[in-house]
Amino acid sequence: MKATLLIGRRELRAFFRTPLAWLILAGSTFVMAWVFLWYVQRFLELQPRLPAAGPGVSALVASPMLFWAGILLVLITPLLAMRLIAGDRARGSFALLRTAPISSTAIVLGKYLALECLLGLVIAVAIAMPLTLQLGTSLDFGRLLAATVGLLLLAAAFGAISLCLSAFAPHPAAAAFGSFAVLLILWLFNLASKTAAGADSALAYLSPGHHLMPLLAGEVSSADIAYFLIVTAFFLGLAAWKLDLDRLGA
Amino acid sequence: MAYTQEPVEPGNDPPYFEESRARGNEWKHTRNKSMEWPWLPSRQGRGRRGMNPRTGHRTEPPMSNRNSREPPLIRVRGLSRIYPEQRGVHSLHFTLHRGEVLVLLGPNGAGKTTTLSMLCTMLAPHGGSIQIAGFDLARSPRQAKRALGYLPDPPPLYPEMTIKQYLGFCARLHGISRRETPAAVATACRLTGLTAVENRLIEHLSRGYRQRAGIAQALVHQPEVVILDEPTAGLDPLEAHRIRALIGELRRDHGILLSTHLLAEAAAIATRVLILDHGHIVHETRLDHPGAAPLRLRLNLGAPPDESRLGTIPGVAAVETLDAGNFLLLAEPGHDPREAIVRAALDYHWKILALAPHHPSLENLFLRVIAGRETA
Repeated sequence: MKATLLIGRRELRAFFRTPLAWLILAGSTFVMAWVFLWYVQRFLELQPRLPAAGPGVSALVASPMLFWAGILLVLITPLLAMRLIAGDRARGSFALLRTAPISSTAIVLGKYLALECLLGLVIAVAIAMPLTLQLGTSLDFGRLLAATVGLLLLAAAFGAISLCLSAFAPHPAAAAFGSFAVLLILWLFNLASKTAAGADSALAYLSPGHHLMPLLAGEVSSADIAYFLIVTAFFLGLAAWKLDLDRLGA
Repeated sequence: MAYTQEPVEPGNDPPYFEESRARGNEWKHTRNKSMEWPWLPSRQGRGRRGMNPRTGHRTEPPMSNRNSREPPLIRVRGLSRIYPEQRGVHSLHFTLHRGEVLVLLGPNGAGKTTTLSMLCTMLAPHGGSIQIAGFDLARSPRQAKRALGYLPDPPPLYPEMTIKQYLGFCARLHGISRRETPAAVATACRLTGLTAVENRLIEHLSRGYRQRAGIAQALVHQPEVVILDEPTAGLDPLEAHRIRALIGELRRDHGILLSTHLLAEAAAIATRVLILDHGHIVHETRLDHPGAAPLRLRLNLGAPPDESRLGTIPGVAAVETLDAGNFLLLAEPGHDPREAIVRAALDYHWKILALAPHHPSLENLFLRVIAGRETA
């Protein structure tokens, strides 16, 4: 546990010493602000035509805007995760952790912790934007809370998948491209969400987007939460297993 | 001699070579008596020299008196890691004691880095056992790793950290408490001469300082065993000399195992050399007991007799013919047969042209061992 925190703290500091992290934070904030203002603008245009008991600002601005934040995570998580294990290995510093008296699990969890802190920061910025609407109107906080939990779970799963690919990839660029491809394909499974009969397809069930939507709409179901937790645990376990495998492999 | 080509520390005279094992056709025994090497157990039963007749394992040369009381810091037994086509390392046995600098030498692909990687848990062995400071690496990896400092090539640095931050992180990673970390970092900086640059970012430091930071990282938790992979690779001669001097100092409190492909470096700092080839230890040489080494003589005769005739001279243990008229003689331990040789040469009219002590350079030894195996 001590080693996990130690590694996590070091990685987090290292993130902020690279221009990449700042560029990603600035870029994602800019994109989210753009999307947010676009939805606010559209809401203002729609508002006169909305029925009195119709959907409010939380449903028409916060939820779709936070869905875009989820898409943004598909883009930025691979970039942040690529340096964690593949980058360390490429520049030779990974040997320090490998030969230290700590387990592979502690290494994986430490790096994962740093990644999640950074993604948490991105999500905090995303949530802060719709929260500012509270100044002019009243928000559905239950819905916002469910959306926050949904985004955090999404970040947890994406972080685990990207970190796992970082452990498997021989090079940071391969890690970034590989995990971007995996996240994108998983996300696109959502497009096949309905079969001809109208039921949810098995492919859609695998898509994180499919499980994120209800949470963004304020519907918290244990099945969706379980999906994210299982994906996270599976890929973190796989990453730790890969590090042990490296000792046995050629 | 090759080892005088690079600067040698003052007070550290070029070592003589004391061969602990002669293999292959290096020496032709011309007498029917067993030539006992003073640091090897005597021939027993059916076993080959240096082999334990019961287990078939190689026995180790006994250590100097200072070391013999203490158990070895590294004990490697039957260590193997097999790759396809017979590559890898095969059944290595060796030990390392405190105060020793054991150098692994060998051509590329001989298995040096594989061996070091297994000792540092970067690779899992396919067979055999490794004990570090009494802890079995497979059964108690954490305790074993705590007793181990490792400098890989390249050094495992984080360029975005300062030396102080980096060494602090390394110390904490190896279980040094938060309270003791500043003192441990200061000690490691002082030992490696990094105190003046401890607040600078590693990315702004020269290659020599980075290498020192790598060594400091291996020392910061005060391990008993320090393993260095190519510690002077890519350094300028002055910096390389400083690193070698540092290794000489570290030897006092640690056991040091290092790999290098620089023979002059091995000759300058090693107390013992293991030559690896195709994953086997093919030669083991002590460099730290010049007094105990039997005399080697180079003899040049104008009218040479048969090689076996030279072997009958009192005090001569073995003879090797180098080329026509040139011989290498190995004296029996504690004997100086020079006078007897000169007398025999005069008596039998061999036309003696030269007779001189022969100190082979490590390079000669290396080439002879490796080339001898390739032609065999």
